[in-house]
Amino acid sequence: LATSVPPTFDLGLLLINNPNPLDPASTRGPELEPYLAAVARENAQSLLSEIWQRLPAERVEDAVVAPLPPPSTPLPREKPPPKPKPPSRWEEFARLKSIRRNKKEQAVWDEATGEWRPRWGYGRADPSKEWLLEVPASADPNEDQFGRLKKEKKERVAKNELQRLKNISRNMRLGGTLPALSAGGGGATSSSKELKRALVVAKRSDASVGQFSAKVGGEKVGHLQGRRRHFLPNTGSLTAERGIQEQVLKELAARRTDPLNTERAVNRLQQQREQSGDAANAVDGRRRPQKKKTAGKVSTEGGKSRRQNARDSKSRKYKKAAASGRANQKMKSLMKSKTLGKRK
Amino acid sequence: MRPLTEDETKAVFVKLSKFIGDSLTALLNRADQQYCLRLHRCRVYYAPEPTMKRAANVQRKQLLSFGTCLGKFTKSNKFHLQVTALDFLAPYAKHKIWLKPSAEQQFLYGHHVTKAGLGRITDATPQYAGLVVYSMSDTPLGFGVAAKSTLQSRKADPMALVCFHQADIGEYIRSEATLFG
Repeated sequence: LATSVPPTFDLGLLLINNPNPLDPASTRGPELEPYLAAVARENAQSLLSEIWQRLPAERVEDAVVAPLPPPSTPLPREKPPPKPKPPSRWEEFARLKSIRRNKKEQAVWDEATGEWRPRWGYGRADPSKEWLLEVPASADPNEDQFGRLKKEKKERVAKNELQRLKNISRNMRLGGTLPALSAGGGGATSSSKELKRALVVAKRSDASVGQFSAKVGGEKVGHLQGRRRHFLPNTGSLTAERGIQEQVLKELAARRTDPLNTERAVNRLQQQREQSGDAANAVDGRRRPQKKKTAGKVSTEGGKSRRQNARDSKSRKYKKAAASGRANQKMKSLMKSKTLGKRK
Repeated sequence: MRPLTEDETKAVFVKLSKFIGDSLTALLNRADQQYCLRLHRCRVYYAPEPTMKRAANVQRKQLLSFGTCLGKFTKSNKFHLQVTALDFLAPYAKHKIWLKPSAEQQFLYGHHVTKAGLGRITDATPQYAGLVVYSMSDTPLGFGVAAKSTLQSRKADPMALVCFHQADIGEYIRSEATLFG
C-alpha cells in the first residue's frame, strides 16, 4: 500500500509542492490528459483550501481577503550577478607592490599651535589657512607663497579628477557601468530619462528650488518644481505676525481640558484628609475608624461617609462654578476627563 | 532674521506655556513697547521692535544676538529653552521649587534635584510640569521639569529625584561658548 506524502505549501508564492509520483498506469494512452487535469484540479483545490484554512481572513469593503505571508522558498536570481569592478590603476599597483592601507589616527600633533588637531575636517591645521608662511631658502624671494600653495592644491585636485575619470572610462571599456549619481535615486542613471530626473532633483534641492542654478546645455527650465518656503516680512507692520500668535494662543487654550483644575482640588482634599488623619493618630496612637473623621473644610452633617463628603465637596465646587456662569463647557470637559492627574 | 512660522510659533508657545501658562499673553502684549519674536540662525530672540529693526541692519553672519535669546531650534525642529530666558519666565512662573542651600551648588553644576535638597514646592504641581527653580532667598536659579507631583514628592525617599534639571544660571559660565551660538 503506497502511502501518499502530504503536499507542502509556500503560501507567499501560492505554491503547492506535491511530491507524489504520477500513477504510471494512468499516464499511458488516452487517459493521460483527463488524469493530468484531475491531478491539477486536486492540487489546486488543496492549495485554495490551505489558504483559507491557514490564513486569517479579513473583510475589505465588499471582498473577503487573506493576506499572504512572506515567501519562504528562495527563488533563483532574475538577472546575472554583477561583475566585480576591475581594479583601478592604483589598486593594481598596490597589489603588485603589496602596499597595505595603514589606519591613521584622527588627531595629529600640530607643532605650531602646540595641540592635537584633527587630521581632516573642522579645526584641522590647514597650511593654506596659515597667516604666516616662511619663504624657503631655495625659493625665489619675490614668489607669492600663498599663491603657490593655492595653485598646487588646484593642480592636485585637477590631477585627482583626471585619474577618477580615467578609471571610469576604463571601467566602461571593460564592460562596467557608470558610477551612481547621488541625486539619481539609487544609482539608476542608465537611460536619458533617469539622467534628466536626477538633474531635476539635484537642481531643486536648494532653498530657491533651482531658480539661480546655472543652465546645463540645451536645458529647458520649466516652472519651478517643489515648494518654496514663504516667510512674513521682517520689518513693517506686525499685524500678520500678531494674527498668527493669537491663533496659536487660541489653539493652546482650546487644548486645555481641565480649566477648573480638578487635580488641584482633589490634591487639596487629600492633603487635608491626611493632615487630619495624622493629627488623629498622633493624639492617642490608636487607629480610629476613618469614617467618622472629617477633613478640615469639608465638615460633615450627621456623620456622612468619606466618599459622600468627597462627592459633596466636589459637587459644591462645581455648583459654584455653574452658578458663576461658566458651567456648560467645563462640565462637559469634566465629564470627559476620566482619570485624575492627567492634564491635556 | 525672520519672523517665526506658525509651526515654530506653536513650538515656542507650547514650551513657554509649560512654565508660565496663560501669562504668555503678558509677554506678547506689553504696555511699554511692542515686542516681537524673531528667528536668527536657529535661535529665537525676544526683543522690542526698535531694537529688532536696528539689528536687522547688521550682516547675518556678523549678528551675534539681540534682545533676549529664549532658546533654539534643534536640527529636527524641536525647541529647547535656554537659561537666557529665565528673566522672563521667573516672574510669571506657575509652579516653583525652592532649593535648600546644600542643594543649590549641585543644581548649578547641572545635576538634578533630589528630595533631600527640596526646600519647598508649589502646591498641586502635576508630574512633569515645568518648574522654575529658586534658592531659599528667592533668587531664580534656573528651570526644570517636575519628576514627581507635589504629593508624590512628599512621600518620596530622600534620594529620589524630584526635579529634572533643564537649565541653570551656572551655564553662563559652563556653556559660555554655546549659549550665544
